[in-house]
Amino acid sequence: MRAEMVHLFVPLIGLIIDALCQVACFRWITRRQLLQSVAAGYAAGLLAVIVMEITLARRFAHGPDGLLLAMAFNAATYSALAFNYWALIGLGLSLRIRILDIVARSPGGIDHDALRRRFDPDGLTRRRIARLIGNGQLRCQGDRCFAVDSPFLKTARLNAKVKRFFTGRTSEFTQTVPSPLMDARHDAK
Amino acid sequence: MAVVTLWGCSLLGLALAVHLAWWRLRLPKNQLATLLKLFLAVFFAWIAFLLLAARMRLADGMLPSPVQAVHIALFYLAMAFSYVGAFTTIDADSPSLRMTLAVYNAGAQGLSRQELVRNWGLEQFFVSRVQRLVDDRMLTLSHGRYQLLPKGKLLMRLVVAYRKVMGASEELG
Repeated sequence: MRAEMVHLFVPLIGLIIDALCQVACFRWITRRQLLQSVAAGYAAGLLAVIVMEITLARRFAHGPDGLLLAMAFNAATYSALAFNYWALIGLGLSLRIRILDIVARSPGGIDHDALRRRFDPDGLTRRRIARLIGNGQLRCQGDRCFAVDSPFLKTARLNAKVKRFFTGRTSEFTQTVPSPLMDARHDAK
Repeated sequence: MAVVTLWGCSLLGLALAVHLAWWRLRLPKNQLATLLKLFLAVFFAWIAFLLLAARMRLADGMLPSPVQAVHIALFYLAMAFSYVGAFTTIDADSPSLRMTLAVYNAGAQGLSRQELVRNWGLEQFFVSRVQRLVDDRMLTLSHGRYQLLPKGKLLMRLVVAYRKVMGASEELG
């Protein structure tokens, strides 16, 4: 088999290993901890990609530059595929999927008030808070909750900055405020 | 691999440059759909260019082989869908990120659970998400009742099937 054909399959095999490992971890090892199972699956897939690329470099006598290039390209491709897989399994936590599920379970449709009642925003918020505490992303003492310096908090802060850069606001529910991109857009007009 | 890397990165760079230039000039009304169409348009334009160049024997040494073209397509599409996926958190808020940021902004005094539920809860998300589902033609509002459209049904089935494989609880959201 030609080298270029074999290289093509490396990220795909990595993704299959990721998915198998993630499902196995979720069911039997991390006991329903989604984030841990996703991290374990990603690490297993990435390790497989690295091992496969080193093996291929020996088999097809690629030099160190060729190995590095192939490894970087296929690790990036695998990471993107893994991110898409993560987004797919994360859909179970999506509010839109919850709404679709409620409507799907209502033969003949459902009106707005009944949909809102069954959506249960307050109950859902409490569950989210419990999940944030359980994952170590928030810390609570008595009734008060405090921020924890975690990758999740960094993501939240970065997300607000990027959102402001692109849309001029830090939340879909807040008013537009000036941002560098908005200024450029305004100048272009 | 050099040909694959060069083509893959160039194609992705081109799409991102068009995206940024477009967004600088004018923010599209439906950002996600526009972004997805932009990435796909660049992809199909590249396929058309490859076919044309192969037929006219242009840039023979620079063109990827069919297997390399599939590898480039895999890289480009995986990156494009990842970018669009990440962009959903820019287009719409994530409740968990929003709550975390609210608690962080409250500083040393923090926020009570009650304040979080009242001011940063999912009430306003409900209205926004229902509207988006209607706009995306997954739900329809007919005679005051919401009903599922085929696109919504398909997505639902996919998620439910996968959650069964994972052995996850049936509780969604």
